[in-house]
Amino acid sequence: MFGLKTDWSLDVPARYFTLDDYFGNEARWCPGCGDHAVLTAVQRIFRDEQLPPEKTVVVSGIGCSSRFPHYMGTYGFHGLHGRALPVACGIKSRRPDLTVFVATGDGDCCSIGASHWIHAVRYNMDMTVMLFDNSIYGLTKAQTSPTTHQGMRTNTHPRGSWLPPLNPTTSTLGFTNVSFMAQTVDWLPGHLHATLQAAYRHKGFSFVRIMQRCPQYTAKLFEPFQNDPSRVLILQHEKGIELDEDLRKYYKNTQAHDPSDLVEAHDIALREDVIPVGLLFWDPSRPNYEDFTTQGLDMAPEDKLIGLNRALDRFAI
Amino acid sequence: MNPSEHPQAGEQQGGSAELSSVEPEVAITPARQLPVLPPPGPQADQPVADAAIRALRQFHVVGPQEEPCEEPRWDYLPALLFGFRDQSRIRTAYPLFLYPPALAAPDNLFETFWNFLKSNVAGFASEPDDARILRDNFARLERIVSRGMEGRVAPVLARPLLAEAARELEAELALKGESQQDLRHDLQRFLDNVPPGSRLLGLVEQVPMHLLLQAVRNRLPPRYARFRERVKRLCVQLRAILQVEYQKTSAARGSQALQDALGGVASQFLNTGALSKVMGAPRGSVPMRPRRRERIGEVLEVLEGYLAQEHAPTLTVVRSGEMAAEWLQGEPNTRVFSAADSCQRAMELFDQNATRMARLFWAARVAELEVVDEYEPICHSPILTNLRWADLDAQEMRLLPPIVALVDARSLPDSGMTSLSRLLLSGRPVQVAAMVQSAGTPGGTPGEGPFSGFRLELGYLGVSHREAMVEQSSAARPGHLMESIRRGLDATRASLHVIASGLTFGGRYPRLGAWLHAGAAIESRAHPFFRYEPQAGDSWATRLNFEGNTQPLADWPVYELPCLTHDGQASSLELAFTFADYALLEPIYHGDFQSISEDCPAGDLVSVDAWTRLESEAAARKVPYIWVADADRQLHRLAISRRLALACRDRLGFWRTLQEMAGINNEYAVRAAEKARRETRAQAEAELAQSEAAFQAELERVRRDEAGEALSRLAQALVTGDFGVAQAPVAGAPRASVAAVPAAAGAPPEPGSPPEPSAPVEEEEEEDLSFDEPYIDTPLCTSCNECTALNPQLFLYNANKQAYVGDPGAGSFAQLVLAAEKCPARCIHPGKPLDPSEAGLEELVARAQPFN
Repeated sequence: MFGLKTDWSLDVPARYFTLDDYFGNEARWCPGCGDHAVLTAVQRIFRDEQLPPEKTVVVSGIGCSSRFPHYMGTYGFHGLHGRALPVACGIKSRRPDLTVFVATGDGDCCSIGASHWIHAVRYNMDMTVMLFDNSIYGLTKAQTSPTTHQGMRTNTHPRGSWLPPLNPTTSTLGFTNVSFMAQTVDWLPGHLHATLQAAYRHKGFSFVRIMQRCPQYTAKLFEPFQNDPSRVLILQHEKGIELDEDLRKYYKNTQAHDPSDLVEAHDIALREDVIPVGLLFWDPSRPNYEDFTTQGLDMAPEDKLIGLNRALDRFAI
Repeated sequence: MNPSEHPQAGEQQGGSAELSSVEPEVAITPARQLPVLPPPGPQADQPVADAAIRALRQFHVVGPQEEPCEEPRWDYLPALLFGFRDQSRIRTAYPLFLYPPALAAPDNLFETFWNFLKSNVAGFASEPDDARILRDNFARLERIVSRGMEGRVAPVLARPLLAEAARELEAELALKGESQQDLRHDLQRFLDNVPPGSRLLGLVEQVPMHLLLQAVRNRLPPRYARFRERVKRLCVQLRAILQVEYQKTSAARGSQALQDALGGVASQFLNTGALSKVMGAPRGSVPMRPRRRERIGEVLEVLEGYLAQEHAPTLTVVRSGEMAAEWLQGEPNTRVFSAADSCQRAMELFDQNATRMARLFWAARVAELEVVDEYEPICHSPILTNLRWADLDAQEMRLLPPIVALVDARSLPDSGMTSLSRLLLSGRPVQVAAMVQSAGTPGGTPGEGPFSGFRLELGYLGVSHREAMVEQSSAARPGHLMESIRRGLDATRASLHVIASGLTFGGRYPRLGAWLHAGAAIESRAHPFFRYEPQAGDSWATRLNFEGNTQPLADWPVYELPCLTHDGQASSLELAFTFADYALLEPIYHGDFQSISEDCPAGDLVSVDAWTRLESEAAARKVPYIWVADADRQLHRLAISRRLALACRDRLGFWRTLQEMAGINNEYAVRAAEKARRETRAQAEAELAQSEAAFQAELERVRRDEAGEALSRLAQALVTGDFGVAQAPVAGAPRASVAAVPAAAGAPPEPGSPPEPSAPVEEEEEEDLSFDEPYIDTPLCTSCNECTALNPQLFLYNANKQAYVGDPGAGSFAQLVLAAEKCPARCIHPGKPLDPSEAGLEELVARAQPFN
């Protein structure tokens, strides 16, 4: 049309950011920890999307993974245990212009922060939430977490965890107004990157569960799945998340799954023989709470005063 | 050309592969910046509505009350162009990257700078993450280069400009440390890959001339070289003939000649005088006729004179008196003439050139005949001695120095039209370039627009000369333009190039930029593309090329414009881009637009697109309008004057004429197709009726036979009392259906039948590969720092912070094995030890085995 090609825009941002611009303090996680993979993936996404560091916030609660904001060269909020999500919702409700990422662990989110989790999903505010699920309280030296596998020995259950683990994926899919639920693993960095990128691009509450290994306490937890690619179920759909081309020849266990099908997503999430990875559910039409909370933010103080007076005048005698 | 083969919207053809590729539909509305529809107007009471439409009708019929003005009255843009208001943020085909013409392939003389940038970097950085920072900043670099090209009326050498742009890019990004070093290194590699002598060309008024120069410098040298080789060969052969003749003379056997032939030493031992007497006179050889010897000598002199000179391709440009020629300054091998009548002067210059070159061609032709001794003076002399330009063959014609006559459209009303016509009819292979403004009338008097009668179509006029090549193109589509120029240079006949200048009617620089403005002229059918090549064949289908037009099957190109309603709901408009939309870009026609008030009843309004399809009577009752957008993305409707609406009809009329000539919506073809359809249908109906009759007859026969059979069985049953006979299947009843059923899938094959070919093996067997060198499956690396903590020289991170083996010699095999064991992603492969003297190798090799 008019001789223009699809790449017609010469719009360039004022500044350019390299990967270095998103480096914060040196990461102090143990060597071999899956958190490093997530950190790198997030830094790459920020670089690819050219997000100004002063316009991005990484919020966390408490735990190994919650050290995340310290290692990012952006704004960060290392919050209270279980309270990453209410802090993130607060930021988004008054500063919708900021990009918000949340780092939370299986203990932080699914135990003490579970009530916030339910409502944050319902609020569906535009943020990317990364659930670092290593099935253990690692920072405090191996206590049972909500996602610890049944029978796994921990310091709080030396004879093995008594209860079946909570499934954060099926739980999230069951919460009202869920709009984006994806699952990935730390040993597929390409898929991890693609998943977090899709989550970032979704306007709404993007919940990504990342299965990861703690090299200290759960190093062998996912070994059967890592050693046998057929035990990783790749979800495929045109609206879904692509696996790297290099890895497709190894990971041949695939299943077509329409991410708008909530019932099928739930069935897939229940499977324990394989780890399903990919986009389980996506509904971009769900309402966002910040569309309501940010109304009037652009009003000048004078306009607010006029509005306030008009409201009060209704009660004047 | 088959109409179904016509390129659709967004398609271009051109001189390079990139330019000719079909692009997907362009998203004309940046995300979250959709234009907004006005709210539905309040329901006006009848008197108010009547008054509003009456005022609008009055404007429509009477037209503008003010004098045309070159200052814009409106800040509106046609709705489809609303997203491109800021031209500095739009990538166009310019600047063009011109390859050195002597080195470039004929079909790759130039490409867009953007494509050059991508292909250059891909040449040294094949992986997407290589040269990442430079790739990420292509657009930034392109903007810097575009800024550097501003104000340049001629091509500039690429290397210095790009080196300066590279420095500017570095300064703008202000990177530090390793990132800065990487960028500098990649920029240097990029600059090293710029071919010396390549140039950059912005969208300037004389783009066609620069492209012509580029084509001339590419196409002519090989032709000159071939001809030069031919002349050299002829010279050698002619000299050999003369040498033979010399040997026949007594002087060749004289004492002195023998002495010279034998050389100084040999002549001391031989008496050359005695030898000369002994040799005697040659027998049987007849000396050449003096006239022939003279002719060969004359030819040889001409040919050797030609070889003594250097011949670089020279372009001769004849411009109309007032046309500027600064753009040619500094261009070597160009000659510029100024004349009041450029066509006439170009013909004179051509004749002079042809006369001068005819002597050379005479010599070459005579030489060809003489070397085989077939020159017959009686037969050949009358033809060859008076060789005129019209007697030259195609190869000779293509060796003539090209001449371009620049035609100023303003000179056409005077004697210009006559001499243009004479030139086109003469057949002289002169290139005529006419720069036209799409909104005006070529040959119109000053101030005369498309409303003063019907528009003169200069290209169509050129076609009427039948044997001249004619093309209508635009600098906004350099690929199409270059293709036409190349064909013009190869054609041995006059060529008329009608080229849209991209300027406004008053010759001003348009507010949308020349590139988009010219593009809008193409879309709106104000300047449709076509190329008429008489040499291509005898039919319109072969002579007329209609490529380069958008949506060539439609009246106007139609696009869907996504937009928002006034209350933020997603909506869309299907809009045609008409001549009225283009006219809004021309300030001189702003008086022909009028805002439509909200009170106007919608039933009396109609889009221009629909209006042009209405019959005259129905059209007279409607007021046509176009959709426009203001700087705040608000959509509005503007009514247009009747004279502008009629100009739209005029443009559409010419477009439909071109379509018919190109075989689109051709009335004759439509009638023929309809006739063929009717005949086919009638034939099919007749066959059907025949089949039905045959079927009925057969049915009757079977019924009759079966009834007889059944009756006979019934009678037999009654007689014998065996009623099983009556229930047996009737002989001749269809049973074939059982036999016709193919064997069920999976049924065992019949004995003796060949076995089914086994299904192809889908999975290829993995090769058992092993490598001596250590390596890392980088895409699998989880960036966990295990290996880099072990040896940061041996293990490095790439641009995506994923590990690779840096210097294998920077660490021990033991470290490689340890890293492989610790790597949680198991992506490190230690290979084989590089140092055979390393301690404990046997154990280390065994430990490395599972990871290789």
